[in-house]
Amino acid sequence: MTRKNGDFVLPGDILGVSEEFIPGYGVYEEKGKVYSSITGIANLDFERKRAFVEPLTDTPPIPKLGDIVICEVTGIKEKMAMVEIIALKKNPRRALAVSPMARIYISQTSRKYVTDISHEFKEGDLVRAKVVNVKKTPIELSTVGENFGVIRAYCSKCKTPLEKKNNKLECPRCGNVELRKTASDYRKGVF
Amino acid sequence: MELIKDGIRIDGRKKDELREIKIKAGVLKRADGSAYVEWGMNKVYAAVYGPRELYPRFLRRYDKAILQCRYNMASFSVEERKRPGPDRRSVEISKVTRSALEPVVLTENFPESVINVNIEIVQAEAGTRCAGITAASVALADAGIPMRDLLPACAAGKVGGEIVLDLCKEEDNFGESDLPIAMVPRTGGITLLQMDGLMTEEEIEEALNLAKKGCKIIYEKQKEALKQKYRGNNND
Amino acid sequence: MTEIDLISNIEKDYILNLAKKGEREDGRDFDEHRKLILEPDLIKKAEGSCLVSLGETKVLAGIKVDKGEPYPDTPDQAVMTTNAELVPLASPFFESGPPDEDSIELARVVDRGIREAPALDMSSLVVREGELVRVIFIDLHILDSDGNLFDASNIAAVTALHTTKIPVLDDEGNPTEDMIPLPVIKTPVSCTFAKIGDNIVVDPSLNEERVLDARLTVTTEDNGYVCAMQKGGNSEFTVDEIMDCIKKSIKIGKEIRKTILKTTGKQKV
Repeated sequence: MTRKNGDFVLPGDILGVSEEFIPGYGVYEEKGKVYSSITGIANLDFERKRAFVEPLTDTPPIPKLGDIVICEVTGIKEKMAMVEIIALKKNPRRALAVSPMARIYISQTSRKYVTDISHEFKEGDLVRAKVVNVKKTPIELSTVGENFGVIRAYCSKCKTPLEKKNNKLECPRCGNVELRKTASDYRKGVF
Repeated sequence: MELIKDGIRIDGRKKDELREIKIKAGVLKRADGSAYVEWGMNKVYAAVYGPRELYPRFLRRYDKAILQCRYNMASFSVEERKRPGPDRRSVEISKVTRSALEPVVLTENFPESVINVNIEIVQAEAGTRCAGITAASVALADAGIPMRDLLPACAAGKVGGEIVLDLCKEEDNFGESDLPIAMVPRTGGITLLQMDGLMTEEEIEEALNLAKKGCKIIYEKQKEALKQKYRGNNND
Repeated sequence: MTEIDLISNIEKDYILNLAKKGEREDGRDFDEHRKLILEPDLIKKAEGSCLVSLGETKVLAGIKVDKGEPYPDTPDQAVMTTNAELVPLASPFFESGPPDEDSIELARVVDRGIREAPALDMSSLVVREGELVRVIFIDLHILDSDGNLFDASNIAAVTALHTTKIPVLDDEGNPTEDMIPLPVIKTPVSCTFAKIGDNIVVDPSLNEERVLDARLTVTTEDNGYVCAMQKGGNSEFTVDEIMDCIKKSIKIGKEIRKTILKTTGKQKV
């Protein structure tokens, strides 16, 4: 049975032979034939010899270039912040299917020139960021832009959540004032 | 007790007839993928989580995701209350379930992670492991986890001297033998195989072929369930 | 785990290449068992026992017999339980603690073969129906794990049952001085196969076990019936492969059964 472009396919459905297609997303090759591995719509490009399946199901979340992620800062190094991705914005209910480790280079922190990254992030901060490089391991994120940056931070002295006052973060408990690269909607409870 | 008479079985089925089977994909909201199977009196849920980060770290495989399967029976699922939690039987079934599913899941796509398959038997009456595997593979597909194929499972066995498909409770208890299998429909490969009771070589061959026929019917119902959810209608 | 994975990947290439040439690392044919040595009655404190050496794999089976209540659904049958302990003594990868899934599977596969054959006449071990029956404990102690614990354990358990003697009970259920052998009516023998690439070998060694794609244990009884099967491993079998394993298991089972009966002095003349 040959498949047409746009057909509904299920795992194990044959799409063609290996000479016809290079397997893309949701497609696998076995013994000279290519099959669908997921439930979705077959996308068969005979000219460019590419086959992939557009999923109709939910899919295991994997960060892609341009994806918006929420992450937690796990460590600060001289030139970068180490973070762990908690969720992808487009599928926040499902755990990441790949390593959640990522980093934000000092140059990807802000539009401003940053000399000390520890003035922008601290361990435990929750950050909204954008995926800018998935070819490296760990993958690289950016917080350049007003929509990106810290969305919740804690006082480094007493661990109380900090409140935003005139572009600075202030601890309501001990009065400690701290610096961060915050997102414009700091502590608005928006993902 | 006469289990089979003039080719008709104790519950009125023919030798190659399955019990009534209903499969539904995507029945649990929180799970990444799920399925529900009613198979005769059996009522089975399967839920899939992952692939996701695996802890403890030393269990990670650099080349593939690992599958963790848990088959569990509710205490009220059988006549006499079963003590909750894993017993030796369910530990073994969990293990053979994992071995059955592993060949069809493309675990190499997700190195260092874990895929959790949870099977809950809420009502049991012969053939729960096959119902569990059947539900689990639909739940995996529902979670969008890449698979070589769906995996139907079905038993055949010897009852009253005859080879029959899909043993019911009386046949399981008083028949001669039971042989559950799971089959990869595309290749005909057997990924679950267990047997207890007495059968000759010829009888086993007959039972294997009958169980494969059963698997093919179940496969159609699995596909139907996924179509129902993701396509909304049944015309291809 | 990673280190073991890396080693087993190297070993896999080696064993796979050998198998393609029709060879095995220890020079055996595909259908050849390792040397089997049975040492029955080694443990005098147990009612029955046997130490089995299958190549370098060593399993000690001990039988203890007690009295107790029958299961409510089988009031006219004795009770039998099988337990296997993969003790840390036998392998660097075994850990102490409650039985894991491997030891549970091992015990249940051995149990199934014995129960389904059946090896014992369970109805003759009843003292008072519904009240008091013999309870038979089969305990498998793995001493050296060098591959194919399934067959070594099966042979150890079945041979130990053959050597078991129990006291005759009086009407009250109290033991007397007279001893009788357990009513062993059949000798189920299991035969385990490993699928490595496209080849199937019998009685896998430890290395073969670590690289196998799929595993199949077939237990046969005296009249050529199959009484239990169990597939393991992360790959699949075709029906033809399964049928081939069954044929071989019947043939090899006959040989091993002969050895068991000869060793225990029960061979029919």
